[in-house]
Amino acid sequence: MATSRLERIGTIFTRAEGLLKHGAIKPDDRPIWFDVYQAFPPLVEPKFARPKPENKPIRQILYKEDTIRAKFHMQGHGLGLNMLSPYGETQTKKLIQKYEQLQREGVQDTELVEKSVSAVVSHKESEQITIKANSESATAQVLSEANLKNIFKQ
Amino acid sequence: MFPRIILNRIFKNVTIIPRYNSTAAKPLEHSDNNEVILKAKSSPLDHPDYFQVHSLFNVKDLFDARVHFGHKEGSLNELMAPYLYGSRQGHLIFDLDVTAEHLRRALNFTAHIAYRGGIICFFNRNALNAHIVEKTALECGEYAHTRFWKGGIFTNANHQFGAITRLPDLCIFLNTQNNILNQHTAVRDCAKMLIPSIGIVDTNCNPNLITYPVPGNDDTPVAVELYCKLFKGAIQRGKEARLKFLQEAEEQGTFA
Repeated sequence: MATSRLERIGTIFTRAEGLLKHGAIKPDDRPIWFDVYQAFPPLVEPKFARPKPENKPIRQILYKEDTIRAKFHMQGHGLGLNMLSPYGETQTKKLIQKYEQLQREGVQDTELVEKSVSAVVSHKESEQITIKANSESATAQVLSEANLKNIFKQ
Repeated sequence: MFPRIILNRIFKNVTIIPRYNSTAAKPLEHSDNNEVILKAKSSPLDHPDYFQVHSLFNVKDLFDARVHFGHKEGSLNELMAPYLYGSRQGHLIFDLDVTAEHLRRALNFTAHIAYRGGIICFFNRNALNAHIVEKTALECGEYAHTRFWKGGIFTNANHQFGAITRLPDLCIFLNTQNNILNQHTAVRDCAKMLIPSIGIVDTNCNPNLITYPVPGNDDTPVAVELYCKLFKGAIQRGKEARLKFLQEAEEQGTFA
């Protein structure tokens, strides 16, 4: 096609339009996207030399419970993440929920972090025990017979 | 190939546009009495969303596919600032309402190009996502280029391939960067050759030369999988409508 290859001037639409208007290409030879672009133009004109948007400061996304989250994270709680089950609630969220629950129950501020951590951890441990009790599979039987401590000894 | 005079008579005011180097099915001629029927039918371009692409996804799907995650604040391209929702602890977050609007426009455009029998080419330079992109292109009967871009494939095509070459009618970039520093050369070459482009632009990319930029995460496999699914859906809808249109026209005896 007899187009200008200067991609920095105008847009693909204005360049094609110019060719059509001045008869460099026949209306029947117009590119197939031309009518579609005309009917549904992009939200912003795809010009190379588009001016930069005004320099607004980026909004910081902060939540109310960030202060509570910080309290736990400063002591190293709730930082782990189980990547095998990404759809459950995270440890931090559980801690925050427990914290808020205890706060409503009227537990003193100084004990809140400690108590919610112990509550969540004990709940987690009880969960693990239930999983162990359920796993009487073939794999579990093989594992119970295997001498795992001495697998590298001959 | 038809002589131009005949073509002019046949295709006057009809939605089909002839293309001389086409590999797609050539639109066939029809007699004069049926021309009235075809004309009376409104063009798909008159509908705001003829292919119903808005039903392909909702904002929750984008969120679940982690489309909102951008790069860190330091690597922000200033041109991407209007598409941002904010920054969470230094990580930029896209405004998914804005993304959804852009993505719907891009999908609508894709469906229309597929409806008109255009050639669509997918691009991607991330090795992790290369396979799914190629698979998507194969599944919807289109093309993909996910390897090193030899300069001049578009701009010097006739010489490189030794014959007159038909270039794609739409390029879809699943990521627009070669690596973290350089933009894909094909983005520039598309603009040079008057090929419209759709591109997923992350916070560190330049959206200016992309005809239909879609602000979103271009790294995560789940997100790329979603984009692939959506573009495949749009292309398939366009092609189905095209097939239906051709069949109807044939039944009415419009095609000799």
